[in-house]
Amino acid sequence: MTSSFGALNTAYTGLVAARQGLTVVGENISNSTTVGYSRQTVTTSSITPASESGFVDPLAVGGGVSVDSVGRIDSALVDAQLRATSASDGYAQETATQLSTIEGALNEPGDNGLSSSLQSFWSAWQNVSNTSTSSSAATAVIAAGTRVAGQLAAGYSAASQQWSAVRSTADTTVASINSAATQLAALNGQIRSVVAAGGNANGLMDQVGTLAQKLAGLSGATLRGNRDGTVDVLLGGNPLVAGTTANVIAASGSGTLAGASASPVVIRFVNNPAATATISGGTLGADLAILAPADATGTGGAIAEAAQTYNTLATSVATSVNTIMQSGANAAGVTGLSFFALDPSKPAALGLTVIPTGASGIAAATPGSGAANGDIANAIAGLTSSSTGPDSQWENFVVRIGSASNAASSHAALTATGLATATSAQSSISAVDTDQETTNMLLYQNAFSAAARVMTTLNDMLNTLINKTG
Amino acid sequence: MITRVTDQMILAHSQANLQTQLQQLSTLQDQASSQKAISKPSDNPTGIAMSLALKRQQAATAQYAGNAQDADNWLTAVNGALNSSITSLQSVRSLVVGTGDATLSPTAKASIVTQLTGLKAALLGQANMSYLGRPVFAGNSDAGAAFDTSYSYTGTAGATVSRSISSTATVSVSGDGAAVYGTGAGSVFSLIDSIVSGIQSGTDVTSQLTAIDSRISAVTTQQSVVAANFNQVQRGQATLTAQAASLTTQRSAVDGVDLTKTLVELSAQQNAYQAALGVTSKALQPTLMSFLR
Repeated sequence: MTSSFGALNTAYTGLVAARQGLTVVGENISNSTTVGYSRQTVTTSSITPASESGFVDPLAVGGGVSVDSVGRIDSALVDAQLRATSASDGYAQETATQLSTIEGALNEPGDNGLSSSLQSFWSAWQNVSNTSTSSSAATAVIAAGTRVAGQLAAGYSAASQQWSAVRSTADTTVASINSAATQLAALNGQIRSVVAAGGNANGLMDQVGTLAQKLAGLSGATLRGNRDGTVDVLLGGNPLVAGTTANVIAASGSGTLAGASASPVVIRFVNNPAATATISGGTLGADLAILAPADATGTGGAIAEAAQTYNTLATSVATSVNTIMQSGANAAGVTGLSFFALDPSKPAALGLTVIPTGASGIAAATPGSGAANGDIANAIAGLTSSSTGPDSQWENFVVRIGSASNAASSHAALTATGLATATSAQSSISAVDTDQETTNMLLYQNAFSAAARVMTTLNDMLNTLINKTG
Repeated sequence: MITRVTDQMILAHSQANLQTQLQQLSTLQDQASSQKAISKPSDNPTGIAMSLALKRQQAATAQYAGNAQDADNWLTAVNGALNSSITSLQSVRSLVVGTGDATLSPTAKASIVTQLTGLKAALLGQANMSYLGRPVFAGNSDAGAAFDTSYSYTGTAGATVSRSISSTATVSVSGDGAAVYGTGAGSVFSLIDSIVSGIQSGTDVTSQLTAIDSRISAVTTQQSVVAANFNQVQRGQATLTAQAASLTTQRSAVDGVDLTKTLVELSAQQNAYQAALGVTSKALQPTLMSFLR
């Protein structure tokens, strides 16, 4: 047998639950555009009637509704997928961007590329061969040679500048990672104390999710959840964030392209500088791969490989032209003249200079066959059709960079699609749907009205009982 | 399968689709306005390899065409000089034949001597014919003239000037001055000098006709050599012209744009973009809110 006033309290719990539900709907709708927000729902349960030992009331109904918790809807699996795709997309986008920059510096196809300069250079030699006594042909070949040397130097400088730019980007990325890691460690502390006190840490967990995804995109970091609601962030297996401690990282190694092979850029944990951190994903991972030194098989860092190619080309141009010209004689019969000089104290592409300043420095003639002979100049001009000559080397390099850039952009398009799918999956689970919230609003509104009506009816009944009886 | 659709998903998809459409539109517009199918190596790595190789061949072909034109000019100069020399030598010959007349007056003899001296100067001028400052009969010498005042030849006998008209073929473009005109005392100039002094001293110079005839034959021999070289140059020029046309066609097939196709694709893409814009503008207009009062 329930008391007359018991039902009033039951109706009251209904009012409270409906009001709580409406509050959460309001929260969800307010945050429908907040980045990283996971929608929340009210979990309720019916209050079972009190059963005391030895006495069972067969007519007892429950004591109303209890608001158990305000839960956060998310899926650990989908979140993990999103972080993984962020890491691979960050890597792919950064690689594609950097390769596209290298590609842009080639100026191919077009009239400003090295291929055009080399062609002008060989044509100028052909003209020297045709009019070997003319000083204007000599001036033209010197100018064309200077232009080739200038373009090789410009190509090398562009690679060197891009390397420095990526190097400083890596430093900035490391600073962002450290800042996010520090924030995440602080949030862990707050979550731990809120959860321990039985409070609602949903908003804090949203922030952790956002930071973790940012860290994944920057560095390919992975997440490990703990029982107390906190998370650990792992970078290549080592903890970047462990509970409330952030282990900050730092980039060390050469600051210039020239020193990259002697001292490659690596990431170390500041508190344990002896060990390097393995970073295989995210934009930082891509930057580190791009910054790697050149190797013997041509599979090293893209920028260093490009710079290496400019050096190889400079040496090749200088050697092939000089070898032929040294066997020739100038108008005065002097033999052993060189056209290009290489400064050994600099990278070959920067140290390439033209030696002759006039016709007397150019050996166009086969010795002993007349001062106006142009056979040697003709032989130099013939280098253009050599299958191992500078033109072929340059074309191979352009094709190699083009293929790499093409593959990188295709891969980046693929990872972007993957990221969109993962974001969609996460949105499907965690994002706010206005229609759904509106429906919930109606539901709670009606529940509130109904509970209020129960209360009014009870009030009427009690009024009848108390005031109109007797 | 995604069962729950949210506003954020619809917006993200719409944005991504618009972005894709716009990128394709921009690529097509680039191609249509620049008329280049390949604007950077990654557009078509295989195509860029062919494009660069063809461009290199085009440059080489243009250079060989220039060389062939130069060769043509040299040979024209040589041929002109040889033609004039034949005329001059034939005049010399008829003058010498004329001296056989025993009734020649001293005035007439003097006139013949004057004419012979003039013809010798003309022959010397023809032998020293130059093209762009280079004597065409002096081979690779840079002396400025093929024959000096003592009639000695400044070039190396047999050494010729040659021009490349393809990566493998060279053609000789100079005349062999020593073979045509002879050198020093054996030269045609000395011959005329000796004829002149013979006439002046009253000796019979008609015996020199054989020497004159052998000179004329030397000139015609050289003319046939020049003609053969001329032929080679002209065949080379025809080949180079055909090659240049073929290379241009090949290259435009690799990196040129099919304008009709691009324009059709462009307008199709514009329609698609407008459709995407229209759909996006309607994507989130109705919500349940609109139907509640």
